[in-house]
Amino acid sequence: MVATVSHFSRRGDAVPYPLPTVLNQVQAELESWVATVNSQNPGQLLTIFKKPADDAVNHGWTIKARLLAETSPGVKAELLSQWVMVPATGNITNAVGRASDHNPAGGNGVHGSLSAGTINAATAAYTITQPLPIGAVTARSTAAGQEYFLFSLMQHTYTNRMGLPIFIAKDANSGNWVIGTISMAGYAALAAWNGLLGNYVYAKTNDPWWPDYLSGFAPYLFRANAAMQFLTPAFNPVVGPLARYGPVTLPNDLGVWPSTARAFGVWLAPGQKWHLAMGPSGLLVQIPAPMP
Amino acid sequence: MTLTSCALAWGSGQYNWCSKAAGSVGLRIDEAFTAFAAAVNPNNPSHPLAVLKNHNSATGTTSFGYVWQLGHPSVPIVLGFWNTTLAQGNSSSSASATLRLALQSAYTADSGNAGFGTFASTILAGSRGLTHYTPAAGATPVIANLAGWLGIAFDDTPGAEWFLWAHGPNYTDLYTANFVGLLLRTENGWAPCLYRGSAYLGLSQTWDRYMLLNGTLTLMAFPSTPTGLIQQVRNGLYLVPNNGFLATGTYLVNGISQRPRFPDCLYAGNNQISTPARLLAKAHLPAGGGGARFYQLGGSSSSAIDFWYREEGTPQLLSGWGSWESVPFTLYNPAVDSTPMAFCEVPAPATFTCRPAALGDYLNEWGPSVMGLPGVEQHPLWSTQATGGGGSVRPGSGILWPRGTR
Repeated sequence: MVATVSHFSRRGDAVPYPLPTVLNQVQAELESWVATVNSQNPGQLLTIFKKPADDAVNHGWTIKARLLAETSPGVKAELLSQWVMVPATGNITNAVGRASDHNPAGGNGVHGSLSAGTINAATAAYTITQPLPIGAVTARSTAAGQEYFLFSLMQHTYTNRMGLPIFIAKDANSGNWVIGTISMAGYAALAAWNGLLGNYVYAKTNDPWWPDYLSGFAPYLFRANAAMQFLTPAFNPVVGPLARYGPVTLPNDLGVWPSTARAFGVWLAPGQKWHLAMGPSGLLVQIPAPMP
Repeated sequence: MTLTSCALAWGSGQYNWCSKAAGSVGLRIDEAFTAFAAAVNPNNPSHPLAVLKNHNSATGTTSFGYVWQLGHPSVPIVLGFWNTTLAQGNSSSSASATLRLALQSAYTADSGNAGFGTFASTILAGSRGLTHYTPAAGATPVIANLAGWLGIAFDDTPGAEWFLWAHGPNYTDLYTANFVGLLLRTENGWAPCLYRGSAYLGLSQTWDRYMLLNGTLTLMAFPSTPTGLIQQVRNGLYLVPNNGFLATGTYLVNGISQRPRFPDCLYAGNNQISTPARLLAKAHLPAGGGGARFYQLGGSSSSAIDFWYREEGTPQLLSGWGSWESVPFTLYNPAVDSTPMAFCEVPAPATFTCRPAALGDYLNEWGPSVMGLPGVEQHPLWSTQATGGGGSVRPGSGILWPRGTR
């Protein structure tokens, strides 16, 4: 399989500044994708709680994912993911947690806030006032059991100016959604349901994927498919001091690569398998081979 | 498929590596390996395992160990391990026990080397194994009055056989050393991986090449332990060849990386604590952990890699052996050891590929940021923008500058 890719990159000298246009284009695709995957997953619906056009000051998304897993008999687990950017300040807030910890009146404009989970408070990580180009790509798949939607945004190639505002993917182990974001500063806020633990787990702040390469030594190894590692139990209050975390395996199109050229770097794997780096954390997605 | 998992413990003064007495640790290892060989050889006629030497082969008073044949249709290997003096060191470089890996064609099973045979050449010889406890660097080694343990586990599933053996004196301080060995059946033959403290040693065969690990390389990449955790260990481990030990050209750019995978019951990760309090440890997982029992094998000091072995259910024991539970490991007590510990399961990857250098080769991998215009022109997405796509394009006719509307 390969991703369906859309390319929304823009020159930076356009007037008015094109970011809201790009976000709205992504939103249109996301809506379409959500409609399809919801029809395929009636037991775990995705809801776009707030979209970029809902707030002229606080750009971004607040997305809710209902899971197959139950927190108690008859009560489905629900996760909520936020990525909110304030162009006036360049601040980005990204967070993920239980939907039950969401306060719609808690700030971030119409998006509200989470009171628990992995919360990366507003960080100046976007330079909205500069006439810089915008790199923007979405990659998605609706293949049953292998669904994902990624949106990677890059303002320039500094490591603190590339992010992953939308990450939604199906865990091949549990069949539950994995949802979250990575800020332009590289702070991940990702959450999954861990079947072995019977609880939520959150991705580690800056190393969301298990590495399978030797840090600092050749050979550097590409791994498909990507697997998530998790944060400290301090963020999992229900988990005791000894915990066994089951695997969370991302769709087959997604891999991990210790690339030195992160977002939108290209990696041509054996067999003419083209991969595109999405976001700052070495996540790669397999894309169609380009036309000659 | 049968998993055999059992252990033995010796009380104070009973653990002696340099002993041929019936039931001593060395002969117990021989007993377990012989049982493993008997279980797997019928399914491995072209890769037979055999004991060439054991503790009974020792002709002196200071050399004890074993030599095993790791069969292969064209390049059978010999794994030898014995100590040469009683003066054991306390680090990978000061140990006097030597591990040897050699082609069997270079080995003669004679009385040389105090009974362990003669090697015309070796693929690898390293002082990496320890058999006795040494209280501190340079101090007199302790032979008597040791208590110790031996744990073994093996699986005879055809094509995925493995044999684990771990032993050592019971931990009493930071200088206590132990030994962990793992023998994996890969599609190319038997791959040993041996561990002591933070030193690794191993050999695997990939296609027609040998790939070696030495003591300077980590087994795999381990992310730093998250804040607040005493230890985060993972399974899904592999033998990773060490570039520094390889002949030039072993890695092809974009080659598919073939790596012997450890059994999922083995976990490893960074240890964040430097006291021996958590060495020789075990952990019983609550219901959420499937009731698994974890045993620490390669205990080591701060910032080194620990190995843990996971046991579940009621495994089969060798006759005359006890369970791993019979070893006096220190049970992790959540009430006392309040610092959390995480055992993480990492799924098998679908593919590995590799590159030999730190930077992209700019042929198979590049970023527009490092390649500039050539990067953009080769980029599957941005190249379309350069020739059409989302921005203004080079006009097909007329003047180039000043350009018209943007």
